[in-house]
Amino acid sequence: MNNRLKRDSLKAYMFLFPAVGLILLFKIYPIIIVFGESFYKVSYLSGSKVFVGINNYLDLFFDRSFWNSVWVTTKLNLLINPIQVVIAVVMALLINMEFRGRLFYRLLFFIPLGVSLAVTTIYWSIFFRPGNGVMNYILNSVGIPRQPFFNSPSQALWIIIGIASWKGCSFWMIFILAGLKNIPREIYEACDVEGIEPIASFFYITLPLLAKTILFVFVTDTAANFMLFIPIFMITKGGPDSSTNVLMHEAYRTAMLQGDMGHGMAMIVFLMLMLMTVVAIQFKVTGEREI
Amino acid sequence: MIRRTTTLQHFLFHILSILFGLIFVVPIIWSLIASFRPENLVFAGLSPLSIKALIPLPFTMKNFIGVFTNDVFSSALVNTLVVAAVTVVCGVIINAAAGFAFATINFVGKGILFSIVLSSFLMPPDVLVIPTYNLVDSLGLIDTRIALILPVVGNGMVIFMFIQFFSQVPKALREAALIDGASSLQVLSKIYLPLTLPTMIGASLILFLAQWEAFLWPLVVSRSIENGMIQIALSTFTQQYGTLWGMKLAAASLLCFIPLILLMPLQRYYIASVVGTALKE
Amino acid sequence: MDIPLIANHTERGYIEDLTKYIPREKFVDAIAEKSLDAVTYGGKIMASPMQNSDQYLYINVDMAKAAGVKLPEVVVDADTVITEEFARRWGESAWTWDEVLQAAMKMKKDVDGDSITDIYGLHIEQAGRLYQLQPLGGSRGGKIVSPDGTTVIGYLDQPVWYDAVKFYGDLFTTYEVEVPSAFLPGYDSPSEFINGSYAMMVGGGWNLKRILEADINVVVAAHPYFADGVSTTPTGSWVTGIAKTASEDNKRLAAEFLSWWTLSDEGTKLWYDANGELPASKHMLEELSTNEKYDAFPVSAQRLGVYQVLNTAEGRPVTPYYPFINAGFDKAFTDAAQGVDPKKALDEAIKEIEKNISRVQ
Repeated sequence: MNNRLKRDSLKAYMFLFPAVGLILLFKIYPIIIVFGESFYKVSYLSGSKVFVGINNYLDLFFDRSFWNSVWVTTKLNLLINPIQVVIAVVMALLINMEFRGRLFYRLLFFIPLGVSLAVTTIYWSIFFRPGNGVMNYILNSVGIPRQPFFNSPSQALWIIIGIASWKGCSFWMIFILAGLKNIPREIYEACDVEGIEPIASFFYITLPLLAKTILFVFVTDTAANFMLFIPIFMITKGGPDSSTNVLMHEAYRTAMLQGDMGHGMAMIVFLMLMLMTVVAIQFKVTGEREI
Repeated sequence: MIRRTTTLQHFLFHILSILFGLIFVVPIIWSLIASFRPENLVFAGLSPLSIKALIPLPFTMKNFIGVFTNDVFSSALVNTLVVAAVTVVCGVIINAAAGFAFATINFVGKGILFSIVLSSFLMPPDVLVIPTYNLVDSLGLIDTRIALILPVVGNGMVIFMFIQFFSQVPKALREAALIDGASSLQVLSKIYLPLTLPTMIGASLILFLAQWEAFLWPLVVSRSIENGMIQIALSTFTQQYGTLWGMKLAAASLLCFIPLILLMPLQRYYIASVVGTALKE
Repeated sequence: MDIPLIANHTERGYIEDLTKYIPREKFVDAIAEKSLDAVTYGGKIMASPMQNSDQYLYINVDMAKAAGVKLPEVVVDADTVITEEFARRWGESAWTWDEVLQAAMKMKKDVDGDSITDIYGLHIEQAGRLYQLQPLGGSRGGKIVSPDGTTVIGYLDQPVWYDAVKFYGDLFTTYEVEVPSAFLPGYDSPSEFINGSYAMMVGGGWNLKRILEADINVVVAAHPYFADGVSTTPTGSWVTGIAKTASEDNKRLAAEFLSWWTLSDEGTKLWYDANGELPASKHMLEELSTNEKYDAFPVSAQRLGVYQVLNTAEGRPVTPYYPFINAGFDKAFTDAAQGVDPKKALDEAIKEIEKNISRVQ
């Protein structure tokens, strides 16, 4: 028996080696690198590396722009995740209804799946031009005064959220849709017979039965949005007044543009810990221990 | 009473669906139409807003020709297709092999390796871009095609998809084959793979899109034109002295329509694969 | 590479001292003095300039007329014959920034009365960028960085820069004459000017050809200055160096090509005729000023660029930390334009610059 296990193990490792080896090298080992490099300081001009212990972390602790980016990341996620989940649920409910034209709408709802975030960002940066852009003409026609959009510290983050959601909601909708399909139709038929209003049946039946799916979407969505980078990198560069400077952008700027690997890595460590904490809290709050 | 509600529901359903549909479809339709206009009329009808924005006149193919004859973009397009093709082929093979092992073989360390695979796909890849850059740098692979491919090929999510598939196939089938003297490799290729086509299509789409939409990783790791990736190459139409918006939108339209042409007929497989990993444990 | 990166690339050991391969005299003979100074770092010539840059105030004449704005005394249009004497008078009749602002206020227009501005008054080409905006402080003697290049304290934190940031911010916020979408990626200044999105552009000589050939009525005036200062203009452009990591043979080959391309009469002429940007070579500048071949508009307008390079051009700060300073400068001006209090914007930017430099020293 023991021999059999050994032989099987050897065989299994052969099958596993390429994929799991690559995952270990490119997904697990870098985590070790981040921790290691965050204890070093790299000189910009000479490129020399010195061990500085926890100095990089101490620097961050007293760094206002770092804490600002932590706050922006938090704010972004407190807003974007509920928004995306609610829209995804509404979209899924719509195309799960038995109406004519459903398949056509379904096709339209899937469009963003094929549009990259970079392209999405280009489109919406044109429409949301401050001053005499398209959106301002539309707002103007319904009597709303023109808005500064990306030029405003209080609006820029909202538009970034809009751009990311345009791309994101369709993806999350897929999961909710699958969750809806798993709810037996008989339950709704029973509701009809009992004369329960559709809205009531949504809150008392659909939502509880979807809870698990929604939790999964919420957690995965949060993980994705913690790394939101493309629209910020392409349009605002963290501005105006650092109002869109999320931690991922701050880390990229520090490590890649200023060659300050030590502080950049320390930021990444912080970002990972933050993400893990938030995901853990989400599981705890909803009382689920596994996906 | 019931009839009235249905009419109202009908109405609401269509209004809401049309609203969402328009928000999704208008940007890409506008971009496609605008890219068929000459450079100086790309933004025609936008400010002030008028119907002219959605009429492709005067019609020209110049922007699309320009996109294909642009060195940076056309070599990025070729490179992206090569990188994506290699990623899909290698990715499907090695992740399927790993999924097969997890699903059908008992081996030492299975629990640990499985949780590594699981955690690797819960960790969003972009967070590790900077340390991965350090790693690739120390391997001397900066600005190479290999550096674009390797980190994406081994994919926890795809392994997971294959684990699910392989564990659904009846054990009896496999055991019968083994009794007949078939090797594990033969079992994999003769029995499992033919059954696995839907999973393979889904996995291919996931891997293809991962490369097609790659942004942050090529941004830090690619330097030369030959190793450019398309999402980054879009910026080539914005130069120091101005932006060629006609070409930029033509290129953006291409970047949308190629994956959409693949996704629309195959969406069933894509959705089944993506959703499958999430909802069935 | 761009000129201000020379210090950086030299200190970080990316580029080679060119005089190892090309005799210094050859550079002195071939390159205009200011351009040569700009590529010299620590007494060594680290790169060779392919071209230079110049800046103008482009004015849409029809819009000026419609708004009753009187043009500067000496301007260039398609019929002007540009002589050295003319260039001098042209330079001396430049508007002050105050005059530019007054004109911009008059030319700003809401055509259809829907309270959305359809034509803005003024646009300064590279929105928020150091290259473009340095004269806003430089005109009143403002310097950005210490001579040793390690700090901006005592330089960028002087009142003249706070005024500069406030002036730029006010164009967008108080007076609303500048184009608010200028900061979006891909905002195409010359084509927006040609399309009539705004009435005046302070912008590079690289736009000359495109703008003057377009179907609009334009004149070219000299770059503005502050009444209590002097005229300073942005300058400098792309230069080429030799990578330190290349093999000795390749370095020699590269030097040979570079020498022909940027120093020889034949190479510089070929490059100029192909790309048409203001040259850095003495020979080509001379040709441009005197040869009848370049009398025809719009090429002749570059004689104004020659005037600028000789009289008003001021290079960007020389420091290995240029990328840090550049980023901070951009942030201060961009934030101010987007409604942040100018003092706060510059204070924050200076703090960032100093923090980032001190962390990697």
